Amino acid sequence: MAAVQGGESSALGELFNRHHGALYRYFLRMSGSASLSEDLTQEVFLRVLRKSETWQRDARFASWMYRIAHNAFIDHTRRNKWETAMPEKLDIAAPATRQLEHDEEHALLRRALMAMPPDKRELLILSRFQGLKYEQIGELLGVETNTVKVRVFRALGQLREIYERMSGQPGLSVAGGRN
Amino acid sequence: MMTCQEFAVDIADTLAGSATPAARARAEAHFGECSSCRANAALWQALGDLPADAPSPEMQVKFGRHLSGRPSAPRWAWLTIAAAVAVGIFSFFAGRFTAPPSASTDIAVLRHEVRNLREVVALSLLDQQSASERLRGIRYSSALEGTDPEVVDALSRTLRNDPSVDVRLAAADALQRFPLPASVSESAWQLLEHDDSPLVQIAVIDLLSSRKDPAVRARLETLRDRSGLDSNVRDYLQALLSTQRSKGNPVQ
Repeated sequence: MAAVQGGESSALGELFNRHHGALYRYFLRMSGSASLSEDLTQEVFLRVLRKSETWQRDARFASWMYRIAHNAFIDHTRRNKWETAMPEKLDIAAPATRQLEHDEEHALLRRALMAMPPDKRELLILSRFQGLKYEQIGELLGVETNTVKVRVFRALGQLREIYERMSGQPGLSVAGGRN
Repeated sequence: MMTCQEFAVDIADTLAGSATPAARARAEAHFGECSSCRANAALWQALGDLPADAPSPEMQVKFGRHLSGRPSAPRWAWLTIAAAVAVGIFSFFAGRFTAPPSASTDIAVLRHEVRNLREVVALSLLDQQSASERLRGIRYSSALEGTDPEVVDALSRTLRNDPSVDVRLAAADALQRFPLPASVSESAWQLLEHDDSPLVQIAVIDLLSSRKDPAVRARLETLRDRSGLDSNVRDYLQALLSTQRSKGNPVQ
């Protein structure tokens, strides 16, 4: 990032190679749309280039990048109010392996995740999938670390309620039914 | 008895693997007593088992192309255009030599229907989620005859709101061929205040400066003097205004 900030725009390609997969998955889980996720991922890296002077060298690049991603998603949602945050059909490719039962559970879990309010969904995505520490999420969202933990705890409870409502049964069938 | 809420921090830390031994012990003791929190922990585990989707390999190629400049039209696109032109020429001469005079009304009706269909396709593509589909919509709109206000509105909306710089640039270029209603011109002026892309700002300046409107020059001068304007945009404006002055042409 320091090289990009120093004016070497070609270094952005290296940053893209390193982070675009994770960023794509963040947008895919936020939006459910593969094509939109590709567009927004590209948009984030162009914003990284445009806003490179605002990056501070002691800041973690990932936290800064996710803040840009968070803003890009909000901008997109504002611009396209007709597109709800929950598409009727997710254009995520089905896995090639035929583990039908698991696939159905995964599909249900994805739908439950998409049915959550975007801010709560984002908390779970950042903490569970993107590997961000609670402290980083707190920096990104501008809240205390313990507030993030409490919100993650609540969001998880809400996700379970939605999942159970969609599956029509209490408890979980995913992950071997631990309840 | 403590409520689940009071274990929230311990549970969140335990799930993330960042809990102290004491916090972990408290959370695990609570899991032993509370089926609801135990189910939440199982759900956390299940989330981690969701397969990770990978972006298409083309994404890197597209981004590399974007970094190295504007994408050039692929060869097949030129072949498609050439084929369309060839078919058009053939149809014209075939119609000229084979259609009886009485068929001219039918042909006019057919042309009208095809034009309407193209407009519908263009408007529909402009509403797609994918930027490449919206770009196709803009290309379609450029091929339209006439000036359908709905198409101009859709292009103007795309110019103002599209998240992709490429699409906004293409919309500005496409609008060049249409007479702009006052409302569209005004929203383009407002866009100059808000759009954060210097490229889009320059494209909008080109769009507005090509209009035969005596007020354009004064507004461009005001814009040039505005603080916070991107230096590249200011330089471009300065050059544009100087060129027009030397030609004795006050920006149309």
